[in-house]
Amino acid sequence: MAYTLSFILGMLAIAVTYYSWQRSTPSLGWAALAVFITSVISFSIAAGWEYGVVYGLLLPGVLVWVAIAREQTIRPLKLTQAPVRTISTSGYKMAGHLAHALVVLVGQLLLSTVISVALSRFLPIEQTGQLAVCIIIQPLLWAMLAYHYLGSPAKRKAVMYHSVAAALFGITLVL
Amino acid sequence: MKLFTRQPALNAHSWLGVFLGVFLYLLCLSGTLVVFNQEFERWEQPNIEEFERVSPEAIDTAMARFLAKHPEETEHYHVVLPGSGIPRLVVENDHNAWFADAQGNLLEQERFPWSKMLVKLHYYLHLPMTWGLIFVSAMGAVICALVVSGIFAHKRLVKDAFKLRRGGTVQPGRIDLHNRFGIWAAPFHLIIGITGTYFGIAGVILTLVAQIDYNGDRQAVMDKVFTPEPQLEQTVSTPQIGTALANFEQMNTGHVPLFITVHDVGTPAQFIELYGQMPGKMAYSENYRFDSSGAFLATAGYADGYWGKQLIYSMYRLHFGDFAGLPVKILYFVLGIMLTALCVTGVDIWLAKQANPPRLRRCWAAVVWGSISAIALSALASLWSDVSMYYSFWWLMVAGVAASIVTPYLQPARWQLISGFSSLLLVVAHLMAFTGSALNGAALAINMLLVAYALWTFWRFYQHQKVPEFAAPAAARAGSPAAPRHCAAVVSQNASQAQD
Repeated sequence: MAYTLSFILGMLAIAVTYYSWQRSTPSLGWAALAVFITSVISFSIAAGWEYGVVYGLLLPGVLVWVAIAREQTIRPLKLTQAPVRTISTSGYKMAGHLAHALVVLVGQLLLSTVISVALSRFLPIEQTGQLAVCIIIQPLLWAMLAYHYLGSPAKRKAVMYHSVAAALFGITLVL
Repeated sequence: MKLFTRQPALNAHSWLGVFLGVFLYLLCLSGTLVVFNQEFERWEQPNIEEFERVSPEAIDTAMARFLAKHPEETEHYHVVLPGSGIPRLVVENDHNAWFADAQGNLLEQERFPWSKMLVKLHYYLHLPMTWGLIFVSAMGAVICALVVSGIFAHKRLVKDAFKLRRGGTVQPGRIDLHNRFGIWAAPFHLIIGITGTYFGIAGVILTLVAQIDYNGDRQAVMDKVFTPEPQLEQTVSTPQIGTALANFEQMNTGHVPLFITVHDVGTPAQFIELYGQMPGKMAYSENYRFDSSGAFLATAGYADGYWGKQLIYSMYRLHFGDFAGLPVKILYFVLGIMLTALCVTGVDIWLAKQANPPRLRRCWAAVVWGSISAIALSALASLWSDVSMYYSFWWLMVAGVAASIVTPYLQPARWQLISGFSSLLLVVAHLMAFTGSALNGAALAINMLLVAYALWTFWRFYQHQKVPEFAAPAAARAGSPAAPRHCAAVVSQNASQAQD
């Protein structure tokens, strides 16, 4: 019963979001958010908060397709043939891609690990808690560093900033 | 140029998605399938007796018979119980594993090379273990970066929240599908990214912390996070596993026994550890420890221990959706398909922007649909031979990509058809190998899923062939855009609408 109610609330949250979107009424958007939070709480009551939060967060990703299917538009097929663009496979270009890969997958792994370990150690909690926090923030920090590096036109400068930040945080680890 | 604006986000998003697209795709595809790993193991040996409960006496009988058959030295014994998600009894050491029936009689040796190959594809991409694990974990962080950059790259996040344009030049539909998958399932993608990164990077963090605080002693950090093993000095004797299970049952904990491990076999420090799943808790298990005689010592404290310990011990279940039975597995499977489709549509969008270079497009199709075919054909090979699953999978993958480079015949639609036929062939082979057992329990569900997939691909191919522009092989050879895979059905629908 509690599961059914939670599921209905989840569907209602999507329905209200869709209704608010269709009519461009932000106030209804807030109502949708409230229903969504209620559904997460309801799932938490039904299944315990650990499962409930996961259900509440993941279900909209599936339920929303009912609204998307309603909203889909189908146009007649219009095939166009653009001239095929040559993809550069020059050695210089390839070396550039490999360098990016090394920076993102190796360099930023190390930098983000140092920064997140240092950051988590500032928290006034037990070491196990610090490690748990570190495990959560490390991939997010790594993602942000990768985003900054790849999105920035001044890539060397980005690497320099990251290295300086890691060095500063690294000092706190050995002091 | 401001960092959190569209163009920088798009630059980051497209580099990560395209350059690492093949790895991301293989990981997402294998991860989606691995959700049903337990069912695949059952499918590989469908003729094994299944039951819900087993008595402590039967476990003792099974272990005694196993030890008589395999007296070789080992550090561990394991007993996998029917509550583990596979309703079977398995007794094993570090080298061999046997199924046993509800009375403890040994049935046959455990053999699931294909499931193992699939799991190792997801864990390591079949690379050497440590490097593979770290590389795969890096893909978790890449998924997080793709979520963040994808959100900032979206021009009209709210305005397009429910939009799905199909037909037309096909590309808008592809973009809409990609964006809808990406935005609405973002919490799932982030959960998978963060928990996925944990498996390989935890070791790196552990090493760093060990260097800083414990002079490089990794075990000291491990003991902080996971409860250290009990220090015992006993007379060496046969571990009383059945007694330990009987004592556990008397404790009425409400936890479901998953499996039992005997550590440090044949030494004075030998102890028995029983892993019990805690309903409603995400942590993998509460661990009950017993001495060699089966007397209870203590728990490891995951049920009510420090929150950090519980959180770290929750990563596995959260990543694989292995915490509340079949409904959650189905939810993870559906969301996993979305994540996999996100990888495919992302590269498809990029290819379309390059005006679909014919050879590259065929190679991508060989990776996307060819990998499904390679997985299915490897499974087929495992039913009839002892051929290495790693070689068969990668040989088929390389052969598929090579064939796509040299022949224009292997268009995406044909690859899709090949993957469908491979799945159907697998079902037929499975039915021939196991006859009636192939129609029982998990095996039937997997076979039905394979047939449904095959029918879907046949239907897609039929729809595809109805559109003359896409069906013409001459046009394909000339490099004209063939039907985009995800919109083939709509394309044909639109073509008939246009004729009307």
